[in-house]
Amino acid sequence: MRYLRALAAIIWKDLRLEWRTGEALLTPALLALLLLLVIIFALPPGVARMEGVFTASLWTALFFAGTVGLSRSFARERAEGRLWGLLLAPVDRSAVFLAKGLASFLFLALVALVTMPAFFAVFGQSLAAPLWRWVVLVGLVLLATSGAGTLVAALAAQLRAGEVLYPVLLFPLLVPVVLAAVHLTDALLAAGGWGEARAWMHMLILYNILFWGVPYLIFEYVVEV
Amino acid sequence: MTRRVDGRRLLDAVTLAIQPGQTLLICGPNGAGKSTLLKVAAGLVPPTAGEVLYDGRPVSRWGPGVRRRLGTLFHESLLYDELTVLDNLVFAARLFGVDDARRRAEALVDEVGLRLAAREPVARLSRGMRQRLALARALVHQPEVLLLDEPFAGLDARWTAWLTERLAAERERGTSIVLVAHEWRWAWPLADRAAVLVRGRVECLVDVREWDADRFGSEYRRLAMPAGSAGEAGTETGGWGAAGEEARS
Repeated sequence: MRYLRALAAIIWKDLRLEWRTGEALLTPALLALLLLLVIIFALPPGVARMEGVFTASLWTALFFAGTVGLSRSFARERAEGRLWGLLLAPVDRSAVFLAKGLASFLFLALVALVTMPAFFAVFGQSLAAPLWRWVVLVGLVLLATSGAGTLVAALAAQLRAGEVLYPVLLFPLLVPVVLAAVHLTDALLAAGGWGEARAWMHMLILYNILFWGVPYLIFEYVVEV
Repeated sequence: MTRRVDGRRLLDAVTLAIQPGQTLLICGPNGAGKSTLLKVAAGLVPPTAGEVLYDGRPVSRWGPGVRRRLGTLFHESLLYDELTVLDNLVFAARLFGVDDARRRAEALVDEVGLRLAAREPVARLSRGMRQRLALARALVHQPEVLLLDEPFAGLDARWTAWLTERLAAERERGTSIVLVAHEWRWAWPLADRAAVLVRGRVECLVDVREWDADRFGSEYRRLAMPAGSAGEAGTETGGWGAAGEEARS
């Protein structure tokens, strides 16, 4: 019970901070929309309708924008010893990881909720599959991203040049997630279901188990000074 | 406890004990390891050798719940500049599982004289107001052990008097207080024992009832100041040298 209360307190605090700063929600959402504009202006006429361009544009924008928000999740805990403040909570320190990860997932989901309709509209793309399949796909991709992103953010927060190193450390880890996202999106657009891309769905679920399970178990050591 | 970093000994075989309702004053020049000692005691930094014991039992065997017993004040305020005074305290109270966190936070806001600033972001507070808020944060869950690093820093005479009274009341109700103070004269009346830490070692540990402040000041100056640097003694040892007396007046 105490664990859940501490977890809820950290999420509440992150929501309050977000309400006041807009760092993890507003900035990434604007960045994703700006990337959409850049992509549309950069593509030669007609190319936007070509197979694969929509998928690549959507996920490139979401991953880059998401990284901006994720990098802030622990960066703002560095100042004034705030991370110590969290680590002094009388609960297992995995609560800090879970709370930060879940808050990041929430922000990423909101960014996707705002920007994805814009991508579908601008590229003239229909859903082509039941909405619940999109929700499952985007949910799992963002969950995987926030799990890995929170772990790397916690590690980067211990380093002097952490914020600079953050994307360099994170992107290689996210390659399997990007591949799964692209293959599964293409499958949804082409066949309305997972089809032959089902193996990518299994990989995505496995990735989530790995990048939420392992940090949950080792977070105490990750944040040890 | 010993704490080594990159071959340097920040703490060197330090052994200290404190009983419920006692106050241990720790003094020392800059870089003596005072803040490290508090962080090791709080479980934020592991000792390289040795152990922290609570009620005679290694802290590692208590589990995370033991942190509920600790209230901490470090040089860093642990506060969120973007959040309001009240939100910072409500958050700390919830983090420590305090029942009716908002009411407790409201009561502390009044106690530390921040009612008018309760809905202001912490970034707008003065140094002294921040210190009072950081103290309120340390007290929010009514801990059994207080680890306070320079609690008087930034406080004016009125709030220094308040803190002295508050700590005395805490001691009365059985709270153990470890108090690191550069300006140790303020803390002397509160202390049961006083230690001088120099280069990570406890060079002197005295019973305050058996020593007067002047004698302790001389001993502190002798231990903390290497020969030939007496000119700095006033500022380095809490204002007992000529420079310190001048600054005080």
